Amino acid sequence: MMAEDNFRDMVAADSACRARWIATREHAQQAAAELGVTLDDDALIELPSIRLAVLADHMDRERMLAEMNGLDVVQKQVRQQELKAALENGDEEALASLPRDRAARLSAARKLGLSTIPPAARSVEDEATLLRRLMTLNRTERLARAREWGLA
Amino acid sequence: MMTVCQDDLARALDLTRNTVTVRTRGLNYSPATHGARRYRLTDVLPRLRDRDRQHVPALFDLAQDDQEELFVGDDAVPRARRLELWLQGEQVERLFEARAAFTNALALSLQSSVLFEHLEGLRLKLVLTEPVLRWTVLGDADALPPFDLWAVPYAITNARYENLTEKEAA
Repeated sequence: MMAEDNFRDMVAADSACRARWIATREHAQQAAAELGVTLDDDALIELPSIRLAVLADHMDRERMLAEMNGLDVVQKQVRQQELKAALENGDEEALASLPRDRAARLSAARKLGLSTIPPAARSVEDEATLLRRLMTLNRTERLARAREWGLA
Repeated sequence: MMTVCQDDLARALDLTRNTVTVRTRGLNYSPATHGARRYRLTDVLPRLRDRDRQHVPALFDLAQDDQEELFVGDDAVPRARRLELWLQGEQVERLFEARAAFTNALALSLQSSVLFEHLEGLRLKLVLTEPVLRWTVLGDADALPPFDLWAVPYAITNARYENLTEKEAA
């Protein structure tokens, strides 16, 4: 893009600019890490606040954070963290949003960084009722039903 | 469920047909092609003498698998006990580990206690499943099931009210 090419040219041409770019980049990467994401140079250069900091020697940290928060990748990370917290608290809706199939649920949980498999969204009583019902079925049916109900 | 025929035993253990016939006397079998009897590997192992133990891996290699990984059968508790008594050394420790891992995984997987009423029987029978059998007898770590996914299917398939004090049939 025009703006990026200009930016890179200016940074390359001016040593003070280059120094500011290095410092700003480090500052920005730390801020990104605190938000739980990694932003590469291309992503950073797109942020107006970053360009301003490097070219005009004016760092507005509030604005930088606001712009970072607006990025898709950060939004996604924030939602993941909220989901993880909700699951850890046993929130019913959060539990219901996970796949029924146990193996799929396990890999979703791992991706969120949870250490245990969230139960299929149901109470202890419901699970007990379903298990008792399973025990009345013959063996060939038990596993298929259990999978349907998210128990296995 | 893994099965072997008398030929497999003769080959793997380097025994005569006569000896094999004696060793397998009284064991349950299912007839297969050409009338060859197929015995459950888990029934045969306790009949092996100490000098046969070195050939056990070869016997596993010859055994056939019917792909039934979970269900251990109806008369499972006495069969499992017999097999457990035959285990030696590290095999005993490995079975202990597998039982602990299974129990732990089951506890983490379920909120209610319905299946835990059957826990003792399930722990006893665990060694009869192919993955746990391979791990216990051969030390094959690759055979171990991922317990956090496997524990509930195994438990659901095999849970029943057992007579745990049942004596062996004469």
